[in-house]
Amino acid sequence: MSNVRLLSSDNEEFVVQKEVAERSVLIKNMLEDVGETDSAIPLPNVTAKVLKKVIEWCDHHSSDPVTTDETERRTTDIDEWDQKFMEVDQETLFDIILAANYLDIKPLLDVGCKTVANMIKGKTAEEIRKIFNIVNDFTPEEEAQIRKENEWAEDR
Amino acid sequence: MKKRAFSSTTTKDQPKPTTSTKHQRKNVAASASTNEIQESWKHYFEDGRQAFTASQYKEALQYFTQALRLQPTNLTLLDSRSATYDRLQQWDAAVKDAKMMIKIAPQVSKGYLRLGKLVTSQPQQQNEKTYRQAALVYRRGCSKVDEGDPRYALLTTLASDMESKVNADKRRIQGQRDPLHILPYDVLDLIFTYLPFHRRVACTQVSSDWNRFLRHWPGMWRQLDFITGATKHDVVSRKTLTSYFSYTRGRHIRSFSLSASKPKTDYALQLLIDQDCQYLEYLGFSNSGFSLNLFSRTLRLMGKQLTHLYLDNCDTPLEPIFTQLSAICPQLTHLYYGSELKTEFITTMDAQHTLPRLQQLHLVSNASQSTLDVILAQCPNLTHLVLPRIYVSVATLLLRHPLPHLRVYYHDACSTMSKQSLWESALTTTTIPPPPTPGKVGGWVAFSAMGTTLDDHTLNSIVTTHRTTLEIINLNQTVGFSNQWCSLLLPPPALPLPLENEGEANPSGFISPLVELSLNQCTRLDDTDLCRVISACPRLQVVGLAYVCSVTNTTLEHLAQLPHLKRLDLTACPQITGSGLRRLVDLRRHTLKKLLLNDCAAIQPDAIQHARSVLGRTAVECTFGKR
Repeated sequence: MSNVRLLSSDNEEFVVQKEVAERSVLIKNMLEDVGETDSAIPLPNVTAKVLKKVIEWCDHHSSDPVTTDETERRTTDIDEWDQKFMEVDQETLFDIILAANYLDIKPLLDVGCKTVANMIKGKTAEEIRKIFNIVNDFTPEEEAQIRKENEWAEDR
Repeated sequence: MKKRAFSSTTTKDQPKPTTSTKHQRKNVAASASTNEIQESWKHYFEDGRQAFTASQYKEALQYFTQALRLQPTNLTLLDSRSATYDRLQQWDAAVKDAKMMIKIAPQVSKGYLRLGKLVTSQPQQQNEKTYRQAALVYRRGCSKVDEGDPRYALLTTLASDMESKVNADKRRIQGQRDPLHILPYDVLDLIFTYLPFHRRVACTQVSSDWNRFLRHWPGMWRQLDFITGATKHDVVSRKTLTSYFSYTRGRHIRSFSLSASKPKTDYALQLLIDQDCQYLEYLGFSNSGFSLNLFSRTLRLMGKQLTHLYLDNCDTPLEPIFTQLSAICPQLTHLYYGSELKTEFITTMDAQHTLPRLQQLHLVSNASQSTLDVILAQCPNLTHLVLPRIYVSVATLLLRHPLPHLRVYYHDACSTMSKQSLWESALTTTTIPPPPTPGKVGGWVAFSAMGTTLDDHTLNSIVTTHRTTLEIINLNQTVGFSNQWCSLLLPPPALPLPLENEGEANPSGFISPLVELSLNQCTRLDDTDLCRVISACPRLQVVGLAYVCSVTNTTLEHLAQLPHLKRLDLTACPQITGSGLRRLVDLRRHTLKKLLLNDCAAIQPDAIQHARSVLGRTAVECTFGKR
């Protein structure tokens, strides 16, 4: 099993099994283009902290079948290990999502997006504002109008 | 806490008035009246202090104000009154007094301490802004107050405390950011697709950015599902319908479902036509009435791409709709009809009415044999057939309609799954249903029927034919069954096994794919056969054995060996006892999510208690005499 060297934006080097690194379509394509190489692959958009998390995920899922099954996509269920994995602060969560998007790791991106969707699910607008520290910038009239229009779906 | 702090400062400060009024004395001429004044303000001050300690802030305020009339620049009095205003929640007055203290004696720490405390005193005001204000007050104090002041050190500590709070708050806020401003469009698109329509609607109320994003996000209006999230029937107003339709172009709408009164449903149908929603794929109405003409017109104009049609408890006959379907909805793959049929089908339908693409038919209705014949004759490629309320025998139905592509066949009340959830799972699992492949015939995956519609012979032949594929078998109330069919679930007879080997890993390599087996009320099953079946099906997750009297502790022992067992119904199994239950619970504590033990007379309460403590209270259901 050959290894691949990955270089984070803050110049930390990670040595990863090729099979694990190839969970990222971006890296997979790069390796195919470049062929056998000894030099480290620079990943200018990913910090060491986030790259470490991403590698941890890829390592755990390295033996998963690489299928994009549409049926799995619709539900927001997340398997137990992934749920634990995603128990991080919001900043890290968004960074992981951005890294998964950049590295093109579709299943990780899905898990991240599902996690955010689950944070929003079952919450009132006010609770969502609290979670993401968003300022309510509607005028009272606007708010009343929007509320009236959407009251059919109001919780509680 | 605060009160004690206050009274301790005042008692400590009591000698102070004399010292701090030293410079006041310069102003007030040393005369006989000065002494009197001094005496009387001290009285007021003392009374006020006592009232404050007794939490009578209104009285305290009056005394302090009286005292201040006589000694308007006394720092202790101002400090006391400021604290009293604070208690009375007259925040502005409190701040005014504190500011006055700083103005009178900028070199004394007291004023800064009071003002800093006031700024952050109210819980709702403890945020970055007030922390910063307080930090500024304390810092200013540090620069003005003499280092010899007894509370100089306190001032510096408080100042740096507040500053670190400001930074912590800043960090927290930086970590907590609006995803809309961080994540790229395609990621946001993905996140919002995971939310159902009514949750997306709730999100439009978060902020004007979210509102703008969602209104212009094409996915927002793709699925207008007014059933799932609606708080109650007929809650959606016409105005809401109109405005939602105005936010998007009709051609973006892929799905529309509504539960509303007749006039409103008609209004919605008219909107669908007016907005030219010609790419509609899903149309659903629940508990709604509508004009049949208008509905037909909608289907005729907008039904070309329709794949799903859902009509539950709508006051509309099936026949006039069904006869048109092949002509106006050629793409239809899923059909759900859940209302009483008042008349039998009389139309004779020929090949031109066939629905070759129809894969799932959910007929939650009372159709007669002849009506069913007419319908099924038009649906030759069904993969899912759900007939919960039809009392036509399974044998007759299968004889007349071979349905070669059938995979899931429910011919009873779908005991473990409600009819709606079956339909919903059909929606989520097959977003784009694959076209039926001619020639390739798969076996059944799920079969469910009741004793009244099923005979021994038919069951035998079904199980024999499909046992390599069947994952779900529900045979509730098949009271009259013999045990023979049980052996059909065992390894194929073509590879005969020595008897003692049965139920263990078998050399043929055949492992039953069965995941769910429900034999509730199959009263004639015997224990040995049950044990053999259970151990031959190691993938079982859901097992129903309610009212099967022959279930014993030995059966439980076999059940306990199932590595994936999630749900087990043992209602009214009179032979099982506490020891068998304990064994099962201890072995399956990590997988078992639901255990029903109603009316199990032989189990002692302590064993039930044990089950509840291991599996969780809600996982174990145990009541007596309910049925």
